[in-house]
Amino acid sequence: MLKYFIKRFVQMILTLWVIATVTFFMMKAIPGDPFSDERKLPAQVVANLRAHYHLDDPVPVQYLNYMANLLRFDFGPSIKYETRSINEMIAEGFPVSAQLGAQALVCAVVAGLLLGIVAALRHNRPVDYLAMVLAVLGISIPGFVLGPLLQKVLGVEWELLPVATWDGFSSTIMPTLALAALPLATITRLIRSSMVEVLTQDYIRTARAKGLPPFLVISRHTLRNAILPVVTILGPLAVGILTGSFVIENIFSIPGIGKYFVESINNRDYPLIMGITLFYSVLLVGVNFAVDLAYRWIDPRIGLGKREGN
Amino acid sequence: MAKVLHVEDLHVSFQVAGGEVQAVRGVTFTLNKRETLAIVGESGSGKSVTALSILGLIPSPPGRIKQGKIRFGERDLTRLPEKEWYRIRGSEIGMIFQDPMTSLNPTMTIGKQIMEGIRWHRRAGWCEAFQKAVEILKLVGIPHPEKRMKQYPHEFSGGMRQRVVIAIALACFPKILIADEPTTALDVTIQAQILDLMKEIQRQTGTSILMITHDLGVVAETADRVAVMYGGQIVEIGWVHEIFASPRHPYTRGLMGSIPCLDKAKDQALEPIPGSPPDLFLPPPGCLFADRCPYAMNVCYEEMPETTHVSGFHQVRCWLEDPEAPPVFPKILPEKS
Amino acid sequence: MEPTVRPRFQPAVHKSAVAEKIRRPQTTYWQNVWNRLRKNLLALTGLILIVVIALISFLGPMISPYQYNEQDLEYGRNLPPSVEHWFGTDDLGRDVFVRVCEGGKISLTIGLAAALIDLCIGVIYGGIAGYRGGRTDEIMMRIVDVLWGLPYLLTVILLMVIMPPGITTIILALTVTGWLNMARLVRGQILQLKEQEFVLAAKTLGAGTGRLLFRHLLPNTSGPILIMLTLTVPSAIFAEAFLSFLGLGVQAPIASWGTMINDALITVLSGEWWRLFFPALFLCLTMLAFNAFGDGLRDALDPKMRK
Repeated sequence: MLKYFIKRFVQMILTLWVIATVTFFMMKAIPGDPFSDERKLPAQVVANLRAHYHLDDPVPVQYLNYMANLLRFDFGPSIKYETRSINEMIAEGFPVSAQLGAQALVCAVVAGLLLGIVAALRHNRPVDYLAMVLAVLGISIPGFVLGPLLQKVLGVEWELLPVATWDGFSSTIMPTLALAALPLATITRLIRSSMVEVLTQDYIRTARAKGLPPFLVISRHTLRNAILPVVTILGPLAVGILTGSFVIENIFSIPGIGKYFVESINNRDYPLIMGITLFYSVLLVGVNFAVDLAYRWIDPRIGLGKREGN
Repeated sequence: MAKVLHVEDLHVSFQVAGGEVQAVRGVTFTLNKRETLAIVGESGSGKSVTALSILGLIPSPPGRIKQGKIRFGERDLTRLPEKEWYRIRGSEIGMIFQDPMTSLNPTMTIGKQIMEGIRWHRRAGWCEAFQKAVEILKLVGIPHPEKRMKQYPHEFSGGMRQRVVIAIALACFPKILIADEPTTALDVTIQAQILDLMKEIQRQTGTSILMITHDLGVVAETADRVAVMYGGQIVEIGWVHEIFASPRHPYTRGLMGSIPCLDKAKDQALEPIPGSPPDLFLPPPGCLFADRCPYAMNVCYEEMPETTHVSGFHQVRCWLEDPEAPPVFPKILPEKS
Repeated sequence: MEPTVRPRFQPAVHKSAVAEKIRRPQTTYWQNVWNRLRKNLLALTGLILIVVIALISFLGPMISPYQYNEQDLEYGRNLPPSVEHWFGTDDLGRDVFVRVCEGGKISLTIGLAAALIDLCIGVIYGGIAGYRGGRTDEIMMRIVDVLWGLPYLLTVILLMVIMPPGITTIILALTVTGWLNMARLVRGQILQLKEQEFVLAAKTLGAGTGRLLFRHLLPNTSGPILIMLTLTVPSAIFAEAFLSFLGLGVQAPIASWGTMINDALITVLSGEWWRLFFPALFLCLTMLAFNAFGDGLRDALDPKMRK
């Protein structure tokens, strides 16, 4: 376990290093620098600014500085919002994004598990088909289509929910739904197929041969084994929710990181784009790391190493 | 001898694309108290399906018991409502499965897996169930049972896992133990241990064993009586020594002929049974073995032979037993039992 | 008994032809797959839909009298669907039908191209790693593991930010990390198959590396590869739409489903539903078709799942 932890940790650091380095050189690869753009500033001012941001240092020195800043979780300044650092923007936007993301994740996991389990237990019956059709729809309708659709129907036509604000729980319902649809469908499909697979296993027959009623066979022997694979995709799901939040926040005018991100793309505010990308990369790589460890810990077959047979 | 189980004219079919496979086609046998009855046959002869139907575990759909009775005490198991089964499976009839590698839940400690049945059937508390499970593990010969209880299946070797599987089947001391090829997946030396263990358990607990196998060695080792299955039917049944000494059905003779034997001269070749097992999808009329039978007669292709009593318990389903049939085997009188 | 019955007990002539006759209809593996696929209504619908969408996308612009970038700022702005403009027009007076078709061409091209490039790189990389095994595999897979940690869409967004916009760029960005999936799949499959007895048997019979790889190993992985391929297409199409939606994809005036949806977001309030509805419908239908087909293929290739 410890060996695996170390191996996985080194791998994570390497991934982060690749991301940071690539990001840095990408920024350098963009012709010009933030202060040579359209703004007509006196040469002296530009030179001062460049010196202020250490842009006149040789590239290797800049690289080392940049890395050192990253280690202190300092993502540097934005160009567009000159007075604010990227850290401030993240601090402001992240709680909002995190709330939306967490709501969507919880909604997706709970509903996905329920739907998937019901579908598997009613395998090849109407409920199963219905769940599968819903699930295929869920993975086929992108959030940026579902979002406007919800706005149109629930917000504009039926006037049930506020269309584009971020104020109170009712305003979070539609974005949460739009964001949760994809992971929900993914979980439903996964849990269904893994349940169906587990139900054909010999040990399920053993459990039935013990005389256990279906309720116990399913709760004790099927569910635990069927849910294991869901843990492995929690990482990719978190990624999906995060990237999905970029467009959802934009569509619903939610003041989260995603909205800043899309604005920064439209403004070509490179430091902000890079900063947010890096921040999210660190977050996601961390989540994946945690999920991997959790899986090792949950599944006794892997967790206890190689004491297989004799 | 007291009857524990009586299977009568059992028919089981599986629905498949374009028709049905008649896996079991009229099987009749009795299992007595404290007895071991072996059912031998090739794969696809319907022996496992017979075993599963006694436990009500035929996967349905596509499987279905079409006809027949399974008498267990006062009850007919073919008509048992699902709820009643929960009191019989594991409690009165236990089953040992073939592959110990896949028959145990990989994410549950073996202790829990054994205790589960005890707690459910005997309404036992955790401590009581734990004690009982430890005793059973001792009985099946697992050293350090208290420590082993907390381990997961992957921490056991194949033979040890099969002992656990037996322990699970044995947890509530059932009246009948059905063993579906309990030794097929194991090494030869382990096989002998497991067979000895089962005999020992039978001696101690007085259970009846229904041994499903394709291995005549296992039959000779453990069984009192043997039923030979072919194409979903019992073609010959009788005391083990009768069948081994004077097999009457050409298929049984074929089986005997294909066992390697140290007594035989080295240059004497094994005699395999020619052909392949029958397809039970739309079986033709008549005896299914006719195609592979060296003594096949015209009638064999046309009509199903009836069961003939050869002596006491020895019954054969073959046209050669018909008084009109030409005598093909040297008539050896069965030893008196 | 009557004498007529006597022949019943005459030894029978063995009908060996009958004995060896196989009563069930015989089918090859791929015939089986096709038979199962054919019975799967959802998968079949998917396949037909893919064909229909491809036909509309590529033939539509030829039938229509309009060009995708032809504006009619005076009289043709925001017209609802009619005989002249089947899907209506947008705020610049461009015909939505032609633009949806153009978007379809781009989406399908990108989806297929990305999937095929992933396939090539993935099969070669994964094949080598899996086949060589040992040290080579170790190093190659460490590289994959590190890259695997990169969040897919974020990487693509980053690449798109610094590269000049265009279809080639999108395909490039999508495949930079997209091949990892395929490589992992192929490597895992090959590693597993390599250990199996039939490969040993082939080796014993003197099969060389090439024969082993192309006759024994790769054909046996073709099922999973095909499924992965079918499911890569919708994810690439989604990624393209996503990028275009963010303003990082194809640039105006070229139409893409993603940009059209983004441009039409305003219509949720203003009411020109057709501008949002048609590109969204086509995008969803395409993704649905590929997903349904991929699912059906998975079920057909893996009969265990169906039972």
